[in-house]
Amino acid sequence: MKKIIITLTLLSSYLLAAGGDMGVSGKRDINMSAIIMFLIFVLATLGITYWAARRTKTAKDFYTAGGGISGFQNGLAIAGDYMSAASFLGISGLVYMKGFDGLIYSIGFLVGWPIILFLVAEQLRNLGKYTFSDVASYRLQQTPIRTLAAFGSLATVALYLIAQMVGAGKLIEVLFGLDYEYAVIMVGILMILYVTFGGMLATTWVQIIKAILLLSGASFMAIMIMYKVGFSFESLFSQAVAMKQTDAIMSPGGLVSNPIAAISLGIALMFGTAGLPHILMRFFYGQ
Amino acid sequence: MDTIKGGIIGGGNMAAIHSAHAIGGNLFLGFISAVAFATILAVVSGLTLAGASAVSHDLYANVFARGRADEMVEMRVSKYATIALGIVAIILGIAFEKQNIAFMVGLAFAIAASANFPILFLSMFWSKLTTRGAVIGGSLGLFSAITLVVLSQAVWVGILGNKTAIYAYDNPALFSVSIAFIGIWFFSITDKSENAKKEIEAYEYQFIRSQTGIGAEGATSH
Repeated sequence: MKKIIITLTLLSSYLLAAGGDMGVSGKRDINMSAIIMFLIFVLATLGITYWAARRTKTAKDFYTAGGGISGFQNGLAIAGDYMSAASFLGISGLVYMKGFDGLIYSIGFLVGWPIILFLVAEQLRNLGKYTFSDVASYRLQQTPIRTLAAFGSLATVALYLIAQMVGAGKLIEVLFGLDYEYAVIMVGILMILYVTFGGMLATTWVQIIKAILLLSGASFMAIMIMYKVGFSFESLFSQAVAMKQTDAIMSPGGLVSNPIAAISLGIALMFGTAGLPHILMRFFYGQ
Repeated sequence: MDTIKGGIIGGGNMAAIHSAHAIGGNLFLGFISAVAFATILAVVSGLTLAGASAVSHDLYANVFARGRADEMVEMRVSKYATIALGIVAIILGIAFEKQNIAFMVGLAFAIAASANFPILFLSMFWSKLTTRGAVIGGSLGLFSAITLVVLSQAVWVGILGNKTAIYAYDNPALFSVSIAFIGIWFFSITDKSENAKKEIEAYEYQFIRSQTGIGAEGATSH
């Protein structure tokens, strides 16, 4: 994944210069064919939500998709949860703006994975029901532990949500030419409707579909970018540097400039994964 | 921190979207945008559901209602929590417009690593963990992580408009994770109450169940 990201990011710099129709200032004209494609896919996901909503009846359905998700489907859904706007839009943006230091995020996300998989996944499943505080409070006092875990989860979820909202707002701004504020409000309302009516089953199915689409879409992009530069990394990098008019994109230190900052970020990404409530939650689903 | 020159519409977060347009034209731009949007919608719903369950299942059902909550009421509470979270996300989403997405997710990871991970991890693997240690240490981790995020460059200068950041590094994890683990360790080993003794004794049963799944929900009804 990280190779794909750096590849497409570096090439995007070159292609943007070549394309020439995307200046720095001013909104682009409304782009009908892009919008139609966009609406088809978004409506399809909402259709799935509607289908799932009719099957959500009990609290168990709402939280854990009724337990009717197979292991492979749940795996795709976890992959989908993990490939958020941060990995697709955020990391490529960081590499574009600050150079290859941005890849520290890809590596950190990756290293966090074995920790959750080998250390906590099985125990979670054996001890809990809906949330990770079921596990944390298993032999401790319910009230204080659950209260603390709930606040920890809410703080994490809030910051994570902000990042996704910014991504969605920017996307709608670029695609539809809407003002950023309206774009964010629209996304927020859509999201509230979506979760209240669809619950976990709808969310899980959209994650599965989206994981497949994103993996194939991003791979296609990476291959096409390499095709455009004749499958040569050297020409890819030199074109990126030429477009940026500085080789800073190929030098370290653009993002993390001292060891303490680097270690701190690394610790957050490695251990944070095993504390993300929406990822931990997924280990309670599935057959 | 130098920024490499060369801006694009929508800011640095949109680099991938622009390269989709550059290689596949408008149709591919629409496709990738839709996939990115579905990605966000799906992740946002997963997040909101996790936040809403923290409110309905943990705070409401097990703390306020002391385990006697009606399932239907619990679901209603989680729907209200969803709406509240959505509104908070809209307001903060507007405030954080200029920030990089991956950077902010890094901050969310830092809070998760400081508040949730130490309690979860030690409750599974350290028999001497007590309620007092978990609550005090976990709270210290949570509050130090949030405080350092607020005092860092991104929020203190970028959002609140102050001149210089009080906390010099971007990510708080190195300090707040250490505070959490040390706090949990110290307040657990100094806990000599009756309760603490029972909790330490209960570890063995929990450990067997966690390793084997005997008596677990997952083994029977899923």
